[in-house]
Amino acid sequence: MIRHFIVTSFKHFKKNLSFSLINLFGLATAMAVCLMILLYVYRELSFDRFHADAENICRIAINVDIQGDILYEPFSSAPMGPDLLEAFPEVTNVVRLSGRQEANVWQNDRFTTFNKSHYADSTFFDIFSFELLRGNPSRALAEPYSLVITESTAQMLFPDQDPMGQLVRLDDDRRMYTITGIAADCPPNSHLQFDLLRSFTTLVEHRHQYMNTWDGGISYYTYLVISGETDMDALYEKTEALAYEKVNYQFEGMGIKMSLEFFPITSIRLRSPFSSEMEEANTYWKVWLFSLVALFVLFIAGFNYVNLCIAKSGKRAREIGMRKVLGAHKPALRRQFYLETLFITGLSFLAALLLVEFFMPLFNNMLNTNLHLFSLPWWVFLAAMILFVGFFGLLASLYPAWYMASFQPVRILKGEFWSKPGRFQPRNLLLLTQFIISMALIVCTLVVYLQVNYFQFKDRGFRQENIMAVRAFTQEDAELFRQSMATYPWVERQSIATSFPGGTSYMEGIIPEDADPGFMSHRIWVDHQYANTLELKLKEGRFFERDDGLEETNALVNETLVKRSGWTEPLGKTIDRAGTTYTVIGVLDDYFFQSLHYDVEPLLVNVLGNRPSYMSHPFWILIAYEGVERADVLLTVQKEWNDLFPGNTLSHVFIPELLELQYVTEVSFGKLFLAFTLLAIIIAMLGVLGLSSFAAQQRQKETGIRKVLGASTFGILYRSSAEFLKWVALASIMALPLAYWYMERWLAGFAYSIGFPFWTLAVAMTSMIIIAIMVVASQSLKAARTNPAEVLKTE
Amino acid sequence: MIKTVDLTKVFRTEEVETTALNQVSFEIKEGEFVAIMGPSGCGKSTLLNIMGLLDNPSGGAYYFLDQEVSNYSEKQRANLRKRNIGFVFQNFNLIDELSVFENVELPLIYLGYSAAERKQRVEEVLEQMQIMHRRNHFPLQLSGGQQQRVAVSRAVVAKPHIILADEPTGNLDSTHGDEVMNLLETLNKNGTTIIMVTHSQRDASYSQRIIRLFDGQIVTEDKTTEFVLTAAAQ
Repeated sequence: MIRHFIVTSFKHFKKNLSFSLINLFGLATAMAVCLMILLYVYRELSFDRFHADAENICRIAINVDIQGDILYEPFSSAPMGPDLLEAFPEVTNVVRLSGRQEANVWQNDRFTTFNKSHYADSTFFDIFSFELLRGNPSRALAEPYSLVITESTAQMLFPDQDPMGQLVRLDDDRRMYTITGIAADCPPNSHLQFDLLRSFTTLVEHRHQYMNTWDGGISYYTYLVISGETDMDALYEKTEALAYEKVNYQFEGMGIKMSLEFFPITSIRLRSPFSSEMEEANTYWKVWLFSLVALFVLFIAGFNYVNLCIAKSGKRAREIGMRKVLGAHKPALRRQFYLETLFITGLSFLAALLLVEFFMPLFNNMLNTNLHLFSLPWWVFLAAMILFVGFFGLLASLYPAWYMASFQPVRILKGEFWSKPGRFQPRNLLLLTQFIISMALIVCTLVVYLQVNYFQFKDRGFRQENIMAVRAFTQEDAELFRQSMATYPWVERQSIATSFPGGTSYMEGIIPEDADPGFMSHRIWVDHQYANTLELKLKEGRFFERDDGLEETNALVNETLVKRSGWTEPLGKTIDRAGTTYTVIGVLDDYFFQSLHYDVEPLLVNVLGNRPSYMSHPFWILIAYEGVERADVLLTVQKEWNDLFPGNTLSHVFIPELLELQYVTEVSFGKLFLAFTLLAIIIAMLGVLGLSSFAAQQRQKETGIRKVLGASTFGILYRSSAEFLKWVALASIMALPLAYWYMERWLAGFAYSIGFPFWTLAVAMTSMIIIAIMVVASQSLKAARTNPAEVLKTE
Repeated sequence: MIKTVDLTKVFRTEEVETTALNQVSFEIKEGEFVAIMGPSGCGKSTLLNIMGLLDNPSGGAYYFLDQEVSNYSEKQRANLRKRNIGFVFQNFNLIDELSVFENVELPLIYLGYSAAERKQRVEEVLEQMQIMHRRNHFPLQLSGGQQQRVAVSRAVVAKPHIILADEPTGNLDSTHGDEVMNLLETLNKNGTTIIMVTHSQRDASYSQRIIRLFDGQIVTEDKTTEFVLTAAAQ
């Protein structure tokens, strides 16, 4: 019997080829969308789970309450981890990493720059499951000036030599590093990425004075392994006592308290609240939103399939009636419909695999990922296949099977099989759901698109066009380069600074006048051309006028710092930092020196001359140019650089490009969301097409009679459209508040958002009405134009 | 074989109640060839549907093979039907997507015959009905007469006790019509009971007895010879 059903399924597919292809297209597209989203979601959820001890690894985060101001950062000071390890048996291992830094590896007189370099404790390879291909995992990072490099780094540095045991110089370190290990390249689903690791003991030699205090040098990422059976509440209690003993006792009565939190490594990718992650984190809502879209698309495709099946059931009524007359029971018929659906879902799944293969590069490009079908473990793939083909097939066949198996042979043989008008039709519920999902998706897409657009084009308060930054090692090199570039007429202005908008800035604790005990503020050092070059606006006071000692104790601040300090007249106020007192000479309008994802934070600006000697900031030459192509600028800069510093790699960034990069995830997310939504709507409209053709078939006789009695084509179109518009109206009542509720919450997650644009609701409703009318009219028009004589003859 | 006692069928809608059959009683013995005649709307097809176990009566009793079946569930009726009744319809009701062979095979599939048995039975019947050479064709590739021969093949393939034919020649020209009637006559001579609804006096003349209905009631039950004579006299 199964063979018979399979043969029948194939014959039906062939016989109703266009209908079958519409179904196949809808289901295959939906499955492809779901598969791609599944790949993405699986990747996101798998972040950092490859470590054997993933469930037990936590990262320390500090929470400092300064009189109600909360500083919450993923950093810790150097001794915190070892102290916890020593004090608590629950903590079984610890590894410290410096923040991600750039490293320049010198070979002969040339250097190669690597972006992802850390100092790491020797326990690194014990705790993390990064593979060490060569070297001793426990000893590779033990001695000072030990260096572990990845396979790719090794290939770049030593294409023809064995890297192990080689000596190299890094940055301006006097001693040479010995390569003691080669690690496999980091898996892409790791929040921690590195090109090279230096032993932490090297850092201890460099920064001796910052290695023993809890309240200074809070700049390390410390990871702990906490034993699985630990009572976390008890551990937190003990940690609080330790924090008191180590640091908080000094602040008693001052309203300052530091506490430690243990943030699970598996939550870093999707739940990190920190802006200072090593790699850009993702967010849970994005993964949810994508999953929701996948689910919606699948539902819509399912509804669509159901609707089309029912729409075509009229054609099959006689067959079903005859099968029943010949003795088929309802279960046998249902089995037949299930197998037929399985046949279609199976084919669709195969087509979906081809679609995924075809569109994967585009998808990867948009999300900046490197996913492929085989990124999924076999069991996830199998589960997806069973879910899409079997379970989804079962769900999609339930209603058509129930509907068609309940045809009464007596009525079919009499030529009556349509349900009587006026009865509640489950397919209308499907139609309603499709309209609700489509309309909600239209609103969501518009809001996501507008928010992304807002990010891209918002005025950030500084020059965003035609400006580049070139990095130099020393202030002297920077000055040399600035002078050489000054000879070009298209260079409008130049400035030297330790950072630029979109670049990294450092946070330090400051104590503004009348605002004791102070707070954390970003801090940069700049020359007197900075404001002019970046076109920053002054709210009051003046900018630096010179770069020498006369400005050394002067400072500029931003509006946010003024507000946080509670100052009404900021000029002349003082700020204490590490024993030096600075006088405020000017207030800058707030500008977005970080990304728009975050609120503008306090900013302290000092003149380059008083930059502490222990700080290893790079120097950036900012070049504002006009009337020349970007490519020509780069050529000239490269030429000048090569002339001045032969053999050294040029490190540069065009600031507009960098800013774009900050929002690239949102932009691609917006585009992808738009693409998926469009697909969902197209699939939904195929369902409407099916239902309207069904309705048109059902009303053939009625339409014929109305025409004979003088109804116009328009009148008939109006009647059939009104039926569908009723459902659009009902769907609006449900979909629009839902979409509003969800997107309002989504927007609340951004520091700067557009606010919910209510007009999107009207757009969603109107576009749905227009699309529905067009689809319905295309079917009804056919019916309305048919010669009534023919319809009535066949009746 | 078939016996009805005060068989009644009432169709109800929200506003109207229509009595399609009103206390109809008759008996059909095994091996008979009975024609049911009457004007449109007199209840012929309703009676045929009930006799064919496609529908239940609203009242009265219906004995099929000595079992009272008027209150049988759909499943019970389907079981009884597929083993004992073959149907022939005016519009053939063949499944367009299936070949001649597959159409004829269908009842055997629902009876659970093995593939080999099905092949043997179907081929036997197709040979008998002289349509074997068309076994791989599809219904729409056949003439009306050929389609009805396929339908008759399908009706007899499971060797039913009874064949119910609803206007079997209604869609055929007289040559093809005669062909089909001869087939039914042969089947009857071989022992199959045949009950046929028809408007055609010519077709009715093949039967041994005619039940005439009017307004849901039996008005006469004639031997065919008497009926033919009466018709000739009129």
